[in-house]
Amino acid sequence: MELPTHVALRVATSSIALGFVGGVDTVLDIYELGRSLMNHDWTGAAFAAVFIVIPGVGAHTGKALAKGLESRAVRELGEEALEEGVERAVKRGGFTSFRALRHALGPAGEGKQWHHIVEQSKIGQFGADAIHNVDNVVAIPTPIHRQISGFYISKQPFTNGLTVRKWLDGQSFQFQRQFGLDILKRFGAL
Amino acid sequence: MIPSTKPSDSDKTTALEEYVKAASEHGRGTESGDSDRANVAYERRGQLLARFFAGEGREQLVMLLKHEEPSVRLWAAVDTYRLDPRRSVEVLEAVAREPGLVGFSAEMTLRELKSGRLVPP
Repeated sequence: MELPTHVALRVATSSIALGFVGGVDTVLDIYELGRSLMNHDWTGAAFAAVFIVIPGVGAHTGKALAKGLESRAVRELGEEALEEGVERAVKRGGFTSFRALRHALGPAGEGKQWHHIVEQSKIGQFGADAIHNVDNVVAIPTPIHRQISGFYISKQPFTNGLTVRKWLDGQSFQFQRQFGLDILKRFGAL
Repeated sequence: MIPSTKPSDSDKTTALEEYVKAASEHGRGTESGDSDRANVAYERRGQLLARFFAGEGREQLVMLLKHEEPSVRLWAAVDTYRLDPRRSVEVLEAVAREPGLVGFSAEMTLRELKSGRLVPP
């Protein structure tokens, strides 16, 4: 599933803006992204592009090279690389943290929260980029988010004495996704 | 606290009322997202079932299949499944058409019963 254009634009513009205003460390991150792309390390490039939007992430990168990397040429390389890297990150849609995903998506809207279709508690089973993924979140009204969250830690007639969350453990991603979608449909949230 | 002596008819009547109360509470907790409330009611219903509605006592729950509250019908359907699976499924199908999480729970219960993964009490 494609990422909505407004989200892609937000990721791209945030990244580029930080490249100019975020100082040397952010420029260094952009350079790292460019290098990954030149080496055809697409996964590395995609992640680098996403990390650039999180302030401070690049603070540790090679300070010794800082002065040299502020040149116009490197910035141009970074911008070009960024464009490609962001595109790939966006297509992939996955992030390493909910914070990064929220940063990319922006606010859920007035009175709404981002809701994970397959729960965050399943990161250990499926990986962070599958859970903190644009395909796995939906903005829903806060009261519905709370109702559904409560449901996951309740015991129901079909769970054999377990909470719903525990009952879902070990089920496939597709099963858990369908389960989450079915609940949302009950509320007309899809 | 549930007594350990053999229940009298009066006890059973009270137990039926308590069962309805627990099933109803479970539904309210489920719909409001109050898992503590739902889970306390879940345990209470389980205790009542084991103490008062084991064996032949289970038949008393059949009358609850027509109860006005969907969550009471849902639990009664699950707990009388062994007595009359066909009727139980009919009730579950009707509750599954109700909106909200109790309806969803009935839908999932039906799926799990049909798949054989859920063994009713």
